Amino acid sequence: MINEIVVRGFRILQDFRWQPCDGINILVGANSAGKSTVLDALELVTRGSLHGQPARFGLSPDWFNTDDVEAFFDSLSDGGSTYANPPEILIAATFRDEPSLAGIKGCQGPAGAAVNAPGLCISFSVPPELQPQFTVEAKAQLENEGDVHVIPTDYYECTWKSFTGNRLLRRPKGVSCSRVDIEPAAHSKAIDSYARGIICDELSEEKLRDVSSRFRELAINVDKDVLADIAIGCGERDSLGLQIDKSPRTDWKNSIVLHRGGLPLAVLGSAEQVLTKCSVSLSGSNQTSLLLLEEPECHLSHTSLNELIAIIARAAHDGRQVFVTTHSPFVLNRLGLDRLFVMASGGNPKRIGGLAGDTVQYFKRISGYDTLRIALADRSVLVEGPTDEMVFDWAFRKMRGCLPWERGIDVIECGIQHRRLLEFACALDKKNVVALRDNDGQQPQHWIEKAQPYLSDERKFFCGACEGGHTIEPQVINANLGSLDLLARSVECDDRTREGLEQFMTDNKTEWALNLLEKDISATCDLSVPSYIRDAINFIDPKPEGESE
Amino acid sequence: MNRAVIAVAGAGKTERLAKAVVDEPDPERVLVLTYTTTNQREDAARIAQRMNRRGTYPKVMGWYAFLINEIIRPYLPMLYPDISLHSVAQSDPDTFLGLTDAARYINRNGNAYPSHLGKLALDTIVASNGAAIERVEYLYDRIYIDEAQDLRGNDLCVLERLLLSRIDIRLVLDPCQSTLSTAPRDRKYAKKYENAKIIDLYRQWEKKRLLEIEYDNETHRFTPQIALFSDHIIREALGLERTRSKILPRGHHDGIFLVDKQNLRSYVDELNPTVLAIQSSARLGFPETFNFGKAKGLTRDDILIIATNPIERFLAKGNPLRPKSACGFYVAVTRARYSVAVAVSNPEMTLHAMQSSSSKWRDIRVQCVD
Repeated sequence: MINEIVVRGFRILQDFRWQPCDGINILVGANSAGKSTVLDALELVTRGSLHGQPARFGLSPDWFNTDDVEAFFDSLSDGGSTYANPPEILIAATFRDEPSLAGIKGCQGPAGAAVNAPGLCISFSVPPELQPQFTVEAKAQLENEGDVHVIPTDYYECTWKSFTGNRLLRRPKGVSCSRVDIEPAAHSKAIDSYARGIICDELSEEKLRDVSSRFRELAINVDKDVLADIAIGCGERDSLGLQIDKSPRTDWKNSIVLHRGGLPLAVLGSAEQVLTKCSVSLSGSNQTSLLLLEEPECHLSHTSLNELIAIIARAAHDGRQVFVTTHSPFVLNRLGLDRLFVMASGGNPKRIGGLAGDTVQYFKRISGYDTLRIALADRSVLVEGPTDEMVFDWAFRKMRGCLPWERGIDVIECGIQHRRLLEFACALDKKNVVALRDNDGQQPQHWIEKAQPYLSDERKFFCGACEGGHTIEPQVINANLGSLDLLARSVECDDRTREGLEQFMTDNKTEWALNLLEKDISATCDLSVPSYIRDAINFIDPKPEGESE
Repeated sequence: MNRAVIAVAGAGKTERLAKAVVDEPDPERVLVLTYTTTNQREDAARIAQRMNRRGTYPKVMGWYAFLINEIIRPYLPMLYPDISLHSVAQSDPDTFLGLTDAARYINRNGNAYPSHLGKLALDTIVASNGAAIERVEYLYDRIYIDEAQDLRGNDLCVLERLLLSRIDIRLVLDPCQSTLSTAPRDRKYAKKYENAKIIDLYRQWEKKRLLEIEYDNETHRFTPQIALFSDHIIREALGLERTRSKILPRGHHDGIFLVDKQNLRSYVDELNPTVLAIQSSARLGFPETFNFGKAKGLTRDDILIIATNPIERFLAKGNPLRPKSACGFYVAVTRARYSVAVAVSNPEMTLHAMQSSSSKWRDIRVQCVD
């Protein structure tokens, strides 16, 4: 089991440190937050390869953190004599101290960790003797290509070590890692590489040798019995013969595929492939093992997803450490919200456990749906209920000419649990969150202060002033005292007095808002938006400079 | 209980080891250690032969590699935090004088000096507070050490730590063949347990109940005549029992011979023996010539040894050989199955001296070759 993973300079993970829990870990975050990169890092450090390709051949310029790369090239163009060191990638995983991991135990962990623990470490760096050359080449690039900065990866050396300080050539005993790509194999190659992985992991040395020797025998026999008689004339030169290629290119491992009942796995349906791969990865011996799953909800029907979740849950129960990335509240709910880690653009994942206890309880009780929405939305607006949502939508359309979602703004109903969601958003370091609520007879400051610990320049709370009324209905009415007729027509109320409107709107809470929203834009454009809602809209979707309201 | 088998030359040490290793129920938790690469190859080959492609082969590792990879490197930061260890240096420095701290152990390229490797390992074990040994305990249930007489200096202190550990240690050694050393420049125990006297340390360990010694005194290589001759060279002085042998003489040119140093050619031409000399004497011009050290592990029907002056005096006057020379001579003699010829300056005179009533060799039937 991995106690801690440290990643430096790998894609978006510039300086990343995470202590996952045992059993299931659910990683949630917006696209490009680095969730897949975390799985890639786990795969690299435990297998020494990524997607079946040995790490040292896999290194590509896009593996480096762009900030690191820019910093390096900046230091070159400064022309100063002190160059930044070439960008480096380091991934280190510390495991829980167990006797079975003594083989990788030592105190040669990454710098600063002279702690006696089992662990693995993989790094990509330019050996000191190649650094001058590397710098020369990078400078040349700067002169010739200007802004395009590509790290010349051929200078890099890949070192895969355990915490003993000894280099690893193959997966160490006691550690295994399976990654199940949910993406169905477009062509058989992906599945073949998966099969190759299985061959190396599951076949004993003895069986490997046996298969190898039989393949050799077969090749020799074919050479001898069939091909030996064939001679190809070559004019004056000696004639040529045919023989089976015995170079590594034709390694027998490339000729092995997985099958069920004689049908290669590649021709089975994608759900079947996923479930099978997952089960296969888990059916091995019960050694310390990791299971990596990326967005299992994709490509799976509800039933298959249920089945997959059962498999994952069983795996975790059997002592495996599971890492799942997901966008699905269903997956999250079924696997347990308390195992949720949320990531924001390369930052260290935050566990929901870092929130107040009653907040955790709250999120467990509700479906978890909204938690994911706030975690994933670029910009979110927290409102109390359907009325507030529709009024916000209406106001937004009036001011911006489109509905919020068209601008990537998610309007989330949260009852009066703004504070909890703000706390959650704060735990995720979510920016662009705005909360709106009725003042319910309290000064707006009262509500703002309650949520203050979780507010910032990027997370704001807006509340109507007391004189505008306690709830949204009087707020809307008070904003339109000069056009009560139009308001009454828009909400479809027969009484056009202020008191009658308030009575009607309070009695038909969602209905009036729906009527307002369903009216043609032009019909309601002369109505005014209560100021706190307008402020909220201007905060979450600022007008480009120079444009007036 | 840890066990040391003290075996005579030709007792079948390697075979015995391979057999025991192959019968191990959990080969993954067994480690085989030996000093020289020749022995590593030999051990691995014998084991592989017996395994015959069944199951997992136990790991065979060199002693230095074991110290570096399994003891020192994992815990070196606890001793010298900023030193990185690459491998073993080709040789010791010309002098250790003036070298202090880590520089006594590791050169600028990160390679460790072979003679100080044992001390470095011992220091690492101490600095790690025993964690280094604990780690090995988790990895292996049993460690076999072949040709254990090669372990010297502080390597013996490391061995003692292993004997004290939970790991079951099985040693196979012949103190009489102490011609090599893992730590030639390490002064630790150098005089006290010089060459064959290493047996005294094992006897100490037996007294302390760190191990049990089992003696294997039966050779499967050479005839009783050669056995007796070899016992006189060194085994008797160590208080070891007589070598037993059931090897029958072949019926012609059996036993111990003396040849005139000036007149080897005809003997070599006629019998084609393997020639052993102190220096690998290519200049002697004989086809198969080895020095004593290189001869280790060989078996030949007929051996011709070019005697050094000390060996001549040893035969003629009984003047004791230096400990190292005694081991070398023992190794040389025990290469032969049937005949050992010693080339001396004056065969007749040497024969006469050896047969005198006060000679230790008087019970050996020695013949002069014309």
